[in-house]
Amino acid sequence: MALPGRQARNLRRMLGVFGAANGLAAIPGGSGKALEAWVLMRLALAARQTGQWRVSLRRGDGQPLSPGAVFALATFQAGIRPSSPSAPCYVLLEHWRAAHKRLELHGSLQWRGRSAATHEIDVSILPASIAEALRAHGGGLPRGLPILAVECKDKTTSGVPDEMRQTLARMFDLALVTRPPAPIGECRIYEDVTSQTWGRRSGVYRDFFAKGVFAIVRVGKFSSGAQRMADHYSIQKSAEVYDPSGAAILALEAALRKTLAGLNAL
Amino acid sequence: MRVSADVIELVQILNEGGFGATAGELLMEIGLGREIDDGGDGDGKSGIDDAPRREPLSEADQMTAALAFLELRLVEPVRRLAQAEAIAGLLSTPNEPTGKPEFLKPTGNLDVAGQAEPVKIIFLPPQGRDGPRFDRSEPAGATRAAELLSRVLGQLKAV
Repeated sequence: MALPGRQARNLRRMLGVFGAANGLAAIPGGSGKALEAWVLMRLALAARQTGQWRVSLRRGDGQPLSPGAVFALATFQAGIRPSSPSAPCYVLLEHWRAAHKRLELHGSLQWRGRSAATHEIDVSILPASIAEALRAHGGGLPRGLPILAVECKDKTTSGVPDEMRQTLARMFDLALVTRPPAPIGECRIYEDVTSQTWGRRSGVYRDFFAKGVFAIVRVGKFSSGAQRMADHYSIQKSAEVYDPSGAAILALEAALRKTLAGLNAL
Repeated sequence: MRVSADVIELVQILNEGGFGATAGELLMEIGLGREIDDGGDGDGKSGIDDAPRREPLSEADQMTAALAFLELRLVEPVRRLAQAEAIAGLLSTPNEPTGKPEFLKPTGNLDVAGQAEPVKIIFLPPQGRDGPRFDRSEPAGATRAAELLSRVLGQLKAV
């Protein structure tokens, strides 16, 4: 049965209005970027609401975002860019008492794994010391296992086991269970421009993955096979993230707060 | 399995409106059918992990499924981006932590509207590559066009 004429005309007109107002929605991948931005900002707010972190929006040169300026996220970042006001923005988290606890929350950041392959992570957290060293010395890719790594899947279908296998492969390549080449010592994260390191090494993958937040955020659900792998390797499953109850995003925020509270263990 | 005439028309309208990629996704989604919810246990008999099984959607159910899909693919992302802009507005004024948690509403629909001027979020093209900034013309934090589209989708659901 065809659509009623009036409804079809209304739909055409509203799609035109919608497309003009939200060009992002018509671009392939646009809805995924919207999901990433939302997850990033929800996590930033969750950090602030602990009452223990000063949270600020930063330009790509490290300066606070100017009033009225836009917050520019990357569609694709080739690592931390050299310091520049036009580089992608990020969120800075500074602990209110422990001055050394400073973190950066980024969108679409590329990390380099042990194989030298690069892995783009939709939303990730790294120590500010690592990011600042890279920013000040021509840019580069952080190496190691992020403090938080979230993949955002805006697909409505269920996540299949292969999707979880991809995530695990990424984590295996990033985790520094083997010591990096000298002069880098045992650590969780480092950069190879000035050899800054951060955090502790773990010799067992599951122990490594249990410290920090690793999650897949989906608009759809997860299949049973994907769930089993996720549970074994401590990957949080944030399914049906647009559900009005908000259960998935609230659980992710809680996981971040727990990791922030236990940052010394990383 | 045949895709119903009204869904085909919906696909055509989307394509003509510049939403070709969404049109293709919708057609595939309807063509693949409905996922069978295995309750998270998978095929308990064989213990084999596989992609979710699907069953064909009747023509009577296809339009409902199509409209739900469009709500998730078009309307919800704009709502969430607007909420992200509202949160960015809150965060644009640096806070002074007190050590005490701030109250968080117990639902996921965090209502931060009206607390601060939203900050516009844009997406830069890859470094060194040409391409448009992903941007939207609506003011930061606004969802008017998305809500109007949602209303029209709701009217179609009622038909």
